[in-house]
Formats: sequence, C-alpha cells, structure tokens
Amino acid sequence: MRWLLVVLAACNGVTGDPGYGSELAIPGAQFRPGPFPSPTGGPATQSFVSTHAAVVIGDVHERVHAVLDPAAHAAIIGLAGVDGAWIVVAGPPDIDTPGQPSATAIIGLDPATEPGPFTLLLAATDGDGRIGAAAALPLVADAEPPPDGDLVVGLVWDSRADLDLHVVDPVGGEAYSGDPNTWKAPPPGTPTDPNEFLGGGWLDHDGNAACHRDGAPSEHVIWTTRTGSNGPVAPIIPAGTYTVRVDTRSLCGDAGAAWYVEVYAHGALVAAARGVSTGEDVITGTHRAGAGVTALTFTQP
Amino acid sequence: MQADAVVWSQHSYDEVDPGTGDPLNETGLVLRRGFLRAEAHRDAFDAELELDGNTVKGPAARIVTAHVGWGYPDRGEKLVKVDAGLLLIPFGAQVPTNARYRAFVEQPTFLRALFPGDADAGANASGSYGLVRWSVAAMNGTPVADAQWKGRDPVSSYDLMGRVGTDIPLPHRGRFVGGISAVTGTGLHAGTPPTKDQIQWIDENQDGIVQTTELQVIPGRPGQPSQTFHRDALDLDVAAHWCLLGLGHGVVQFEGAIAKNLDRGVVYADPIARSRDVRELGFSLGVVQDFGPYALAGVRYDRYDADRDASETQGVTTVYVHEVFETFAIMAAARFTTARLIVEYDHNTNPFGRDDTGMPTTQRADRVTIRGQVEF
Repeated sequence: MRWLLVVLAACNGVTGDPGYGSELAIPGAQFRPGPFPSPTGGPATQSFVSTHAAVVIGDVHERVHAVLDPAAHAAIIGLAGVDGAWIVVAGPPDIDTPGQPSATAIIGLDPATEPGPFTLLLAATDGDGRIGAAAALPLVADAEPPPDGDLVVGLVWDSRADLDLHVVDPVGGEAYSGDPNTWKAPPPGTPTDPNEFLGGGWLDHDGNAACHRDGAPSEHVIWTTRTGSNGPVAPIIPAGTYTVRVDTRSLCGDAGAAWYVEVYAHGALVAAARGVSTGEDVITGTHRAGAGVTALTFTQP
Repeated sequence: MQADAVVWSQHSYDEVDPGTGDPLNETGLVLRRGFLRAEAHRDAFDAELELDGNTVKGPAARIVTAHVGWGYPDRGEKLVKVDAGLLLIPFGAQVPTNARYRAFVEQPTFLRALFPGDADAGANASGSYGLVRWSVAAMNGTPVADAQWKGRDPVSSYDLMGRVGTDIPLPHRGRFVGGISAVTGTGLHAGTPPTKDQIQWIDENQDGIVQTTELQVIPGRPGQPSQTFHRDALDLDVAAHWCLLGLGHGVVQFEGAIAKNLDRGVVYADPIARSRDVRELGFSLGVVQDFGPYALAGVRYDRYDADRDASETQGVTTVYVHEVFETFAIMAAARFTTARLIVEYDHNTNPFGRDDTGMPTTQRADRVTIRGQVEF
C-alpha cells in the first residue's frame, strides 16, 4: 500500500521533460505536455503580436509579446492543434500599458516542422489557476526568411518534384518559369520607359528545374525597387485581384509533393495556402501560361 | 568501494542539453565512490589520507580527507583530540559521518546545501568527558564542493564552529545521542571589474541589418569591489538507538538547522546580490531498523527551505514563493560481513517547475538507486 502511495505521489508536479521534442520551443519556459487548455474564466489577453509574420524553421529567434489583463500571473503559449505548450511567467507592464502585465517569449520551431501557416495561441492565467480565452496569432513557418520586397509571392515545397509558381496580376500579366516577369510590353509604336519592365513582378529562379534538385526548393515572384539605367525603378503593383497557381511539371520520381504558397505585402502576411501535387497534375497540365491549379487569390488595393 | 546504478530516474531523457551538450540521461551505472584510505597511528599521533576515484561527472579523483592529529590519552576515549588538515566538517551529526557508514545513499538536501562535499580544510579540537561530547573548529568556510569557490577560500577569516552534545547509555543496549552545533563565518560576494563605454546593437526587427535606432550606448561603470557578508547557522541533532530482540539495532534520528546566508551548494546564498539576508531552514527525520544480521531497512523525510523570504514579481503582483526541496526516501539493504547492497527510492519535491499560474512547483525528479558497497 505504501509503495502504491509513493508511486501515485510520483505523478504530482509538472513534467521534467525539457520539451526538446516539441514542435514549439521556448527557452527558459516550463514545458506543459498535453493539449492547449480550454478557458476557465481567467484573465483576458489584450494584444498578442510578433516581430515578423514568418518564423524561420529551426531558428529560436522570433520574439512574441502580449499585454495581459491586470490579474494575470502567467501565460500559456502553444500551437493550435498541437500537443505541448509552454508556461511563461508574466513580466512587468510596458511603458505604454501601465498596470497591465506583459508576457514576452522568444519562440522557435522544431527543424522537423512542416513549412506553412500555423496559429500560435496564448492564454493568460491568474493566481488561482483560472485560464483566460486564448488569443490567436497567425504565423507562417518558413524554411527560409521570405525575400525582401513590396509584394512577395512564394512557393515552397520539400521533394524532388519540379513545381512552377505562376502569378497572374490583375491586368493579366503572368510570371512563371517560361516568362519570369508580369510586365507586358505595350503594343508596338507606343512610347514607353525603357526601364519600366523592372517594375513588374519577377520570378527569382526556377526551383528543382528539370529535376535538378535544390537543397530547399522554392520560387518567389517579387515586386521590389530595382535599379535601372536611369536609377531606381519603383515596383508597379496593379490594384485588383491576383491569382497564384502551382503547376506540377514533373514529380521527378516522387509519389507526390506537398507545397505551400504565401503572400507578403511589405513584410506582412496577406494570404497562405497549402496543397499536394500528384501524378494527375503532371498529366493534365500544359505547363505553359495559365497552367497549374489555383492555390489562392488575393487582392491588392 | 561504492558503485551506484540509477535504475530509474523520472528526470531522465535520451537527449543532450543543447546549451552545454551534456547528456540528459540520468539512468545509468556510475562508480559513485571508490575509496582508498590509509591510516597511521603511533602513540598519541595519528594521520589519515582518504582518496576517492569516481565517474559521477566523468572520471575524476579527489582527496576526501587528509589530516594529522594528536589525542590524549593515547588509548581509549579521548579527552582531547586535535586534528588539522582536510576534515569532514564537525557540524551536527550527519556531516562528520563518513559516507561508508551512512544508511542512505545521499545526504539530506539541507546538509548538501549548507556543507556541500562534507569536507573543508581547518583545525578541529574535540573530546569527551563522561556523558559530554564537545568539539570546536576553525575551518576555511569553503567546503570542497562549494558551488562558487570550489574549496578555495576567498576571505582571510575562518569560520568558527562548535558542538556540545551528550551520549547517554540506556538500558537494553540503548543510547541517546544529542547535540547542538553552531557556526559563524564570513562569505564573499565577488566584485566586478570596471567597464568602458560600449555600443550595443539589438536587432529589434530581426532583419539582420543595423539601423541607427537599434544602437544603444552602454555607459561604462566603475568597478564594484568585493564585499564580505556574515553567515551563521544553528543545528540540533537527536538520535535514539535501541536493540530489539530478534531484529537487532535500530535508530531514529532527527537533525534540523536554521541558517543565514550559508547555502553554498543548492541555491547559492548571496545577500549582497539579493540586497537582503537569505534565511534557510532544513531538517531530516529518519528511522533505520536491522532485520537480523543480514538485512536492514529505513525511511527518511527531509525538507529544506532555501529562502524563507523568497518572492518574485508576476505581472503586477509580488507573490511569495517557496524554494522548498523535500525528499521522502525508502531504503532496504542486505549486508554480509563488509558488503552491502542498498536499494533506495527517493520521491523528490523541488521548486524547479512552473504550474499554470506561474508559481514554482515540483519538477519530477524521483529515482530508484541501487548501490553496491564493499569494504576491504
């Protein structure tokens, strides 16, 4: 009986698991196994922000910050739909939010994390253990930081497959590996700026081209300021709806290819989508302008 | 020779610490202590040298004790005994007891905190007269396992300690042993060297590019001299021994200490850094009973509050926290002549975890240890 009591007593307390196997890592915080807790009437979270919209997989680098209700003593941070969260003790108020505790953490994602959008949750807790409603922060797990640019559309995948990113702007210009610029030349005879073509969205490279595998295959169409013969050329980003398609040229021997698409405008995440390419996509595709399946559409003002 | 096998540790993982690269596995076989002991006696003089080879943190060899002594009278119970060198610290009842005579695998937490490593360099005078036992010692004040100074004494003054006790024979081969110990000494808070003005870059937006708003000037600071601080402790130890027909010897033992700024092993006490005294309180209570000539068993509970005034700020609230360590140990042992096989289960409670409210709480650290011990 005594042994039974001791064994039961050993179940008390929190885990000593350092949480290294967890998809989310927060150094210095207490790992909390199990699903993210449901609210039980605890303090609310006033704001929850990160420095970037994307978290580079494998880096423990991204700072997240929350402002909590005055009754908060700690915060629980975790990934939506993923077991394992972290307990962070609340810190002093920020200068601009006196009387309201803050919670700050440096987060990272396990190297095995799949690229793509995810949701970070934060719930404040009070001294009686009541848990507040979780605040959600949409983020994107990136294999690499997105390139700089005013408007960046990215396609990232992890296989040998040769995929192509197609981006169609609101005026019909389409950038893909066969025509890497959305800018369309005006009809012959129309006076034009010889550097105007630099203002279009440019494909940065052809990932896994002809099944020659890149280390971490990706493609981006980028609108950014470029330098022409007469100086800097500002990007021309037409207002309206953009269409992003993924064309599967070849699976290069793989059974399929999981991919995700992300769109950043001035560093902020605008849209993201995830999908899988199959052999059917290879057969049915023309692999020219207009080819591929639509991954997402988004609108620019 | 003692070889320990931690056959199960709740805090063991097949992983390495990413910061240090040290393995997090705590389940394994280690040579806990391999003693080599030499003693010499001639007339009133004696000398002792005890060496220890172990693999607790990789292969290592160390001196456990090395001292010379003089006693009067030459034979029998000493009225006066003087020893100098590296000694087991003569404070309380359990610290000066050599590890090979202890029933439990580890010392209680409060003694590991106050006197880490059990040994220190100094001089000790002790003796007995009738029922009275006494000792007075001057020690460096930095035990060999001191977490900061590693046995090197940073202050010129000595820690003074003493114990007054009694050893009273009782009927039926029983005994009552008790004593009060005290220690007073000086610790050192290490100073800091002066610094020059520096520019610090904090990549606020984490873009890897230096922006002028991310540059801060850190003004230089004059050096801070080291400061000494006072520390002391008071200890009470009581033990009652008995002998039961058919079972054998048994003992119940209590030892408790109240201390100030004396933790040098578990939660280092630095009152200068904390801007207040750090008050510690710990005790242990254990029972060990022989079961015939070949077996014994025991239980022990020990509790240590490393900082009775600990508090922290959680959000906008200052809360008191408890830096309390508790261990409930169950031990069973088999012995044959000088050989012992000990199995011990330790249920540990510590303040290293955090619960959902952010308060310190137990991080699982229970373990089962098997010790094989042979003395030649």
